[in-house]
Amino acid sequence: MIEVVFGGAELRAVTPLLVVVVTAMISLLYEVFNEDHSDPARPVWLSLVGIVGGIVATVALWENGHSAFHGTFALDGVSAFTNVVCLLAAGLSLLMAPGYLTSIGVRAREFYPLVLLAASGMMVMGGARDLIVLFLGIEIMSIAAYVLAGIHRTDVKSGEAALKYFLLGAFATGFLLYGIAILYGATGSTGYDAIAAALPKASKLLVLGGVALLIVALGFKVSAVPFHFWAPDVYQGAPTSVTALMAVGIKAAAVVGFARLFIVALAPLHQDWAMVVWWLAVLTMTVGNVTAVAQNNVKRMLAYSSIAHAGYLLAAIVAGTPRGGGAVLFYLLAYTFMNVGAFAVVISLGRKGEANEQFDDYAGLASRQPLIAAAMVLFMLSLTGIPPLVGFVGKLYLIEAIVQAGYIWLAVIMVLNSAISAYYYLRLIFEMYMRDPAGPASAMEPAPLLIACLLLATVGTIFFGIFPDAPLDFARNSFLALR
Amino acid sequence: MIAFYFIALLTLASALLVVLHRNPIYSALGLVNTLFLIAVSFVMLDAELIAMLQVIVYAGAIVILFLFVIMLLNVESEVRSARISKIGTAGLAFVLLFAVELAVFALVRDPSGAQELPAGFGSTELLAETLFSKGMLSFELTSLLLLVAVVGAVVMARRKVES
Amino acid sequence: MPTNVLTWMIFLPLVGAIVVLCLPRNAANLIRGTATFFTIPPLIMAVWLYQHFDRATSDMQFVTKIPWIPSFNIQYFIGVDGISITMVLLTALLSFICIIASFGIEKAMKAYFALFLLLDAAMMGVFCALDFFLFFVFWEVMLLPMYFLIGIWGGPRREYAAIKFFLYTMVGSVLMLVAMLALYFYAEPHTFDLLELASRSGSYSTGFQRIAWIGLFIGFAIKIPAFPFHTWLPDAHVEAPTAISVILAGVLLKMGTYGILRINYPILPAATLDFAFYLLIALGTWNIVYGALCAMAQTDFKKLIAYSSISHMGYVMFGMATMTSEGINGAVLQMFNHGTVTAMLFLLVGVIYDRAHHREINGFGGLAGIMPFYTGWTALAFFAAMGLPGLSAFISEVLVLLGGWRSYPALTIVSASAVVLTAGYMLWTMQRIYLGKANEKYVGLPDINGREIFTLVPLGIIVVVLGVYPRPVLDLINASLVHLNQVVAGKAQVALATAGNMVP
Repeated sequence: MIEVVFGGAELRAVTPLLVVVVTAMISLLYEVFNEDHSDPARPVWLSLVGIVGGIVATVALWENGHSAFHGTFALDGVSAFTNVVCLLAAGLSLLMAPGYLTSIGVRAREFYPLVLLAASGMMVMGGARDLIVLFLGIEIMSIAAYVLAGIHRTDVKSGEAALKYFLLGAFATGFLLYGIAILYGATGSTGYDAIAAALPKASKLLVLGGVALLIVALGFKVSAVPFHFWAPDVYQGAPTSVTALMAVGIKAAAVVGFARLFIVALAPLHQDWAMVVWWLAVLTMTVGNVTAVAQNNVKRMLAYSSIAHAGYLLAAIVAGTPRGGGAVLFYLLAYTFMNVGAFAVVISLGRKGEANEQFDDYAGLASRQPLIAAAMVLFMLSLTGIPPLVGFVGKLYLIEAIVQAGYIWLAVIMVLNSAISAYYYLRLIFEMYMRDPAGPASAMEPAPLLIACLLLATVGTIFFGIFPDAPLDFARNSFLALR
Repeated sequence: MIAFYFIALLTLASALLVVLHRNPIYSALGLVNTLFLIAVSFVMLDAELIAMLQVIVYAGAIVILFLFVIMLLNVESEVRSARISKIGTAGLAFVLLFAVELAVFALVRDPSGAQELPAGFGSTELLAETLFSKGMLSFELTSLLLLVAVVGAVVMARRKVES
Repeated sequence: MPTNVLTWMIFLPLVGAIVVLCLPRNAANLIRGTATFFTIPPLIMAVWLYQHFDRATSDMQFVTKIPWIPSFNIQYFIGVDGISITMVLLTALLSFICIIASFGIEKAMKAYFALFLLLDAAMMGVFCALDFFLFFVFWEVMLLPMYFLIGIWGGPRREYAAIKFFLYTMVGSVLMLVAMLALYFYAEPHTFDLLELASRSGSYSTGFQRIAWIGLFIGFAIKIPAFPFHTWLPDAHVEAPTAISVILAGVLLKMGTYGILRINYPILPAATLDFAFYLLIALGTWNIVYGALCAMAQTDFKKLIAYSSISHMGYVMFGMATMTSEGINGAVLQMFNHGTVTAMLFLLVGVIYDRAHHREINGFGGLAGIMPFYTGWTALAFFAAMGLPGLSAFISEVLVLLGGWRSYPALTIVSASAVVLTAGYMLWTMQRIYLGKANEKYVGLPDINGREIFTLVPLGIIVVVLGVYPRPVLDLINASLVHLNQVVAGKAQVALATAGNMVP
């Protein structure tokens, strides 16, 4: 007898997702019938309604210990936090999009629904408690992202970015599926709880093989070294608002997917995978930071810095504790504000025809646009991890979790890395404040929505730096509730 | 067991044909062959429905579409460069890695991994039941995935929008 | 006011920074006036603190304690004891003086004064914080304004100096961060409260103490700066504008030794005892001698003063390491005295640099005839720096050496002989700049003006008064330091006894 289960728990689980997806569909249909293309900002509003609706639904409906669809999906604290972070990232990148897309000549209005669809994929990844669901979430998100990366179709670099991203993404998908298949073969299930239960008596060889493949696949998605080669080119080539989404939202979803899988499903194997992820984390942060030092393009520098930050996040996953998971969640929130803010500044400096992404283009920015320069200083310092900004609290929480789990050396390597990172973040500050402008000072007024985005990011960076308590508690408790 | 290895080798050979042959038509036909042989593997695993779907959807529909596209575009045979590129080397390394891994899995067979098949395994009914109970979310998400893919394909394929 | 006075002292300059930022860009006098205005109340409060401070107890006074981030058990916890109150007084005084000394700044002055006030707030915070996390936050916040103040308003190689300063301090502070977290986790229940941590110090194993001690020490040693972490200091000093040099030498360097006394000593007593005998004393001696030798080799006036700072900070480390009440009292007194004396020296270098636009020692000569008042002030400062009897530094250096004589006679002889080196380079510099034939290029130089004298007078008075009658400061610090000394010695005995070791 077929027993179809679709009750309150299921409805609760998918409502935020439905809000976002339905908004995306309405937005697509609206574009079919809409003849008036005069106002580029108009489709943004509809999408923002979807984003806000998704956040509201998440906040209203989440519940710790929740599980639906036979335990394959949940709207618990972890996924609620992920939803909010990813929707925030998507919302902020939507805010910076309209003026920017117009200025680079992209008129594809599918941009907005595609961002929403990518966000829905991220939400699926955050709540996935089953490998198949995780896989589907990754694919929904990634396919939308491939297209977004290439949406600037007249730009060769954008096309190259999309193609590169697509090919390597497809490659990663292969690894992921293969890993899932092997893990399924070893444990007889794809659900996280069932895998955790079956691990003790499963064939160790098969399991480790599967886990290795999963690490490779997820390593691609979080751009961990040595699977990071696509990231700088793609980040640089993609339109900046898409880069912001990729560097923050996609990374957040992938890291949460990683954390949930390894901390929940593969917890019994912690001893085995911890060493591998340890090396992955150390390599990722070190290579990311050292390479970032040598960059002359700000977008590229931010790409390498985002690789380094992926390393920090992986380091907290190494801890394998709920505390580590909570630290990851909080750091993602912190990272969203400061990194999206940095990309918003990059966008605000671009003018028609010239991207102005070199370090030299930032020379003397402080005298040309003092407020934007000051905002950039905040974001750079927060990325470095200077108190009392949010990046510091996030980093502190990561280190705390790592130290508590006994990985002292990992913590030491991490803080030394953040000292290296100070060099290139400061270099940008230095360019803005201590160099004279190279060219004529032609200031372009940033679009109102972009200002809103910058303002939100600034407020978030400062406010959660001084009052981090509420999200900190939430993040910690939501991972504790998973056990 | 011998049948499995035989089919597996044939599958591998036709997959290689897809990648290596210069003429796209041959490649497409090789793909049909590969997919069909995978269907045979499914049959041997008692998954008749999947085997059928494999033949109908992949071999029947998708590859036919490929062939149409190839004919419409009138693609010439590819002119291949003589030396193996860097990516080729990397690919080769991965292939070797996989081969080793597979060999290890095949040689060190652990009987505890194998489980008894439940009654009615592979039947249409059981599959349907799974899809609408345990797999319902996955099933629905797949439709979302397809939607994204369609939208994406349209965006990428559309001619440049006039202002 | 009594309970919140420290909070006001920390946050008034911050309010001032924001107010200054809101002022119109070209209202120069308004900006100067506002900035000065916001440093006066802290100075008045400092005097009030001085009067109402209970000299008989070693407890924390004027305490404020509010939860800040409960999930980490982090508190906004501030208060002062004898060690920190001297530093708070010094900070309040030097901030006021340096604001006045900065009136000559013209480039982007709004930003300059705002950053300066931010720096002021952070320095106050470091000396008042009794929660390690809070301490760290202020410690880091201080970095940024300093980076900008050197990097924007500095000399020709300011970029290099600023980034070097920042990176050195950053490396130190990240190590401090790890040690801080290790302490946090070692304490049960987890806490950042410095007093709580100190009260549990008996339970930390010696091995753990040593590791944590080294982590913290590197962070502080970079700030002192102890050899071999000192190389940022001459660069930063040479490039920084005058007022910033004063703050850097007068207040920032003290944070290193203050941190060791506030954190390493009471929380990690066993390791302190270990390392004081091997590491601290050796580094102190070496700092004294090496700093003096380097100073002797300089031809840049400001660089010479910078190296003399390294040498003088060596006395502080030396005194701390002796573990005697004379030595440690002398060390803290030396921190205060060096703050006033070196501030005078840097202000005086600034005076001549403003007029001649260079600092080559050999490029002057015979200034005594051209600028007699200026020369008089310089002589006072030089004699104070040499440790001439009757001036403040003499007392503290003698106390340090007396303490040292009881613990380390041999090294004390070495350190004491370095006084000769100090006298040597000071007098030689004096001779080259002020005596001899007048350089006709500078015949028309105007003498020191009213504003400059105004900044020097309070420091000069302190230097003379404390040289004759050091009790005002010694009374403040004595109770706390006696207590600290007992704690370290006592707790260390317990810890070492339980670990089965003997005190060396």
